[in-house]
Amino acid sequence: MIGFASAAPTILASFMASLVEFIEALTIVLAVGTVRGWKPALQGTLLAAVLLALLVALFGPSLTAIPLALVQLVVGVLLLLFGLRWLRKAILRAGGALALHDEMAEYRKTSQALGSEGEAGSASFDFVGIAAAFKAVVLEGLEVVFIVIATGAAAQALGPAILGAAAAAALVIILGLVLHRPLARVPENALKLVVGILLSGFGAFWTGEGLGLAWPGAEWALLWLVGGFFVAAMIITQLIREPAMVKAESRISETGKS
Amino acid sequence: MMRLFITVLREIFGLFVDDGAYAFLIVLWISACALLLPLSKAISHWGGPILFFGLVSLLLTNVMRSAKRLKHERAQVHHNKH
Repeated sequence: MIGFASAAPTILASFMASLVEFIEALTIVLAVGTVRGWKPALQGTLLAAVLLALLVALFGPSLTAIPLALVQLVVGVLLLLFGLRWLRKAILRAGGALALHDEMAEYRKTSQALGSEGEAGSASFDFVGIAAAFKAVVLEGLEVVFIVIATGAAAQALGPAILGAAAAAALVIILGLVLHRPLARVPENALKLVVGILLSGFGAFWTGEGLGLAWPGAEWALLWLVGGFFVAAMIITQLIREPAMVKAESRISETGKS
Repeated sequence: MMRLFITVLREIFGLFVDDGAYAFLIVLWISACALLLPLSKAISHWGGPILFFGLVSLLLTNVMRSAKRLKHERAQVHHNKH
């Protein structure tokens, strides 16, 4: 039985990373629901959810049969590749080098594409609608499955990792039901930066554990690793910011003060 | 169905790699740490921080290079428009 203190980082990482993915999936499902009807949107989502749950049930427990150091090394390297990729993109977006991810634009694009696919089929079966929702939930959900299995298996805390992802799913479903539109106001890019930092921290820690490297502060090293990636991300963001962007921001803050 | 399968495979690969050189250097750095750090006891005490600083350096160099490239591409598009 693991305590809350050791499970908390896993729950947090799994919750935040899953939240970002579920928000992206929700955007597509809402577009399908609005354009093609709610029945195919929910049928596709449900089918995808079953497939993803099967993947977690299949791969999650089977990892416990592999020696922990090997799991930590493999999962650590994969998490590093995954986390540093997110972090790189998030820094480029925060620094103004890449365009920010826009859920409303994605929603409009998908709605338009689905609208041009012709009328929904029979009332009971709309293949285009079901396939669109299924594909979106499977593709975004695959990332959730990886995050749940990776954060859970390496820390031997699959339960807390599933709990974190389930909480994120519940939150996004409730918000989707209440709002019936994409969660455009969620600071998705900031969330992605935080998730990139968290996953890179976890990845570095478990890679080191898998390799048998020494960490100052032993298990507490996870904290300074996350802090270290945070500081690095902030510095790099400042380094790539274009002077025009910095000037505009300072003008906005000055206007706000006056 | 086949198209979806290929999309899923591409998505799984894309989870970990979007800039091939960046991913390759990360794996290379981890491999170097695994092979070289155990050779010296004095250095191996700092194994974790060495791994960390190497990763941060890779992140820094890649982001700086990418930002410069993207800026250059934007300027090119702007130039072509006018």
